[in-house]
Amino acid sequence: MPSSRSELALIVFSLFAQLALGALTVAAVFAMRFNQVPAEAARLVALLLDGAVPCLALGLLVSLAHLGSPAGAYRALRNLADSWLSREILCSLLFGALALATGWLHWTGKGSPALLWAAVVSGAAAVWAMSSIYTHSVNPAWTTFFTPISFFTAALMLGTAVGTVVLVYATQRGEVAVTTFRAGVQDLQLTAALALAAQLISLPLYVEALHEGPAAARAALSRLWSAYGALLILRLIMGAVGVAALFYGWTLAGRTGSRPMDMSAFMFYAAAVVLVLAEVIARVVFYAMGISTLVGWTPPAAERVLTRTGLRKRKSP
Amino acid sequence: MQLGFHVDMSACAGCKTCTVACKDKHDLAPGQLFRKVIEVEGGGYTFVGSAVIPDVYAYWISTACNHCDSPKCVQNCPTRACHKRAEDGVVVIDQEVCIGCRYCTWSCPYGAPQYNPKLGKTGKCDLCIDLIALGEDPACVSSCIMRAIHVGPMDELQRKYGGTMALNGLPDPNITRPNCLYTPHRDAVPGRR
Repeated sequence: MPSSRSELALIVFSLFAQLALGALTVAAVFAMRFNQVPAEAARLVALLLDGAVPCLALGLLVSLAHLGSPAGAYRALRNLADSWLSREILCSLLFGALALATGWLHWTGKGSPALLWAAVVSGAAAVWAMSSIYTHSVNPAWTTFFTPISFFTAALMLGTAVGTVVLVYATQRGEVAVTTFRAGVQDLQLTAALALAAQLISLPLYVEALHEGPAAARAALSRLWSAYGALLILRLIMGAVGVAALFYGWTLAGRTGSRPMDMSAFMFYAAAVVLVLAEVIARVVFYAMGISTLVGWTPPAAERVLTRTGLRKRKSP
Repeated sequence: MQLGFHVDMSACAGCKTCTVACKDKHDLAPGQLFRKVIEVEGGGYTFVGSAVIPDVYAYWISTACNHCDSPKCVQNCPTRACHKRAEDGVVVIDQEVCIGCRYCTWSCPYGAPQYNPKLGKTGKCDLCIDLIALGEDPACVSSCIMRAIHVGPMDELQRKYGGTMALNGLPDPNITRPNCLYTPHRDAVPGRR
């Protein structure tokens, strides 16, 4: 049975890959949005690529640590016809290659928007394949709609965090005009708010789906509340605080009038850190929620549920 | 031909000799069990006046790889190390090809594939095909002191023992269509409890 500790490599890989997808999406949107000021757009894209490409490369490297026999990793491409894991690895390698090529072109001053969008599409395919690995498992906590929603909203949240840091940093250094900063932050605020709304709406539906599911799904739900309920609530609060901090930082920047300085910059950076931490907590809980369908075997929580539901107390007529 | 198991739950005493024999035969690491015995217990009590009338039950399910007709472990294995043999329908993991990704352990509703961190590979019940090739029974079958486990072609087992795979305590057999028949304990029959 998986646990968050034994799946540390997958936690790192999935978060870094989703961060890269989010950052590249923000880069592609910024490149399009600020094409009137090409120097500023190019600087923002370059900074985002500076962060995203090494993260993706590191994530891919760390993913090898999940394998018991990493030397045979190339054999994982042998079942593309049926296995989502094979497809995920292919898409992730493609994503890595396209991201690296995009980065290389940008760093050599020949940025290609088409290649950037191709990298984004391949990244989305990689994240979709990644979520399909779990939805095609037999762990009831993973086989719901909640898995792809969690992964794609994580990409948006992490992309927002990286985008915010890059935007504030570039504006503070005078590489980006205040008008660009304001327009960019508004886009990021909207993205984070939508991702948070999707997370808040999908969670009760997920709980309902587990509650209505078979015994193993109810055991997973029991584990969610008994062992990870506090973490889950903390993660939602942190997500909300992070989004609120983005808006508050905006208000502070508005008060000071021009560039994000002092408190407003601190607020934006804090928002980014809190958003990243919220997604780390969410991913740890995700892996800890893997529970066997073989109720009565390994998971003690499942046994407790069976015993509880099996207990019958009837009053005499 | 499809080989599989039959387990007579009404005879199983939960002694776990099958588990130990399998562990010994395959020289499994601590924590690895290719065959395991699940204990299912439940029930309650009824008040009749001031008397408490117990109504409890317990039974054991001896389970291993069921060499399913639609094995999700085979479908999901990225290397094709996990495959279903054409000649006898036995699902095996080629240890030379396995890379220890553990996706099979997430794919089996019965928890059959077991990861060995020392080897960096996943293994599981192979129906003791080496012993069957010598005309012998698998370790679990020959060691069972109650003679509750049988092996053979599924149509033959069905004719001889009948049985079902739909039990209280096991996942829905429609997920992977397992090749194991159980003569159920009376309290394991779905709908009874």
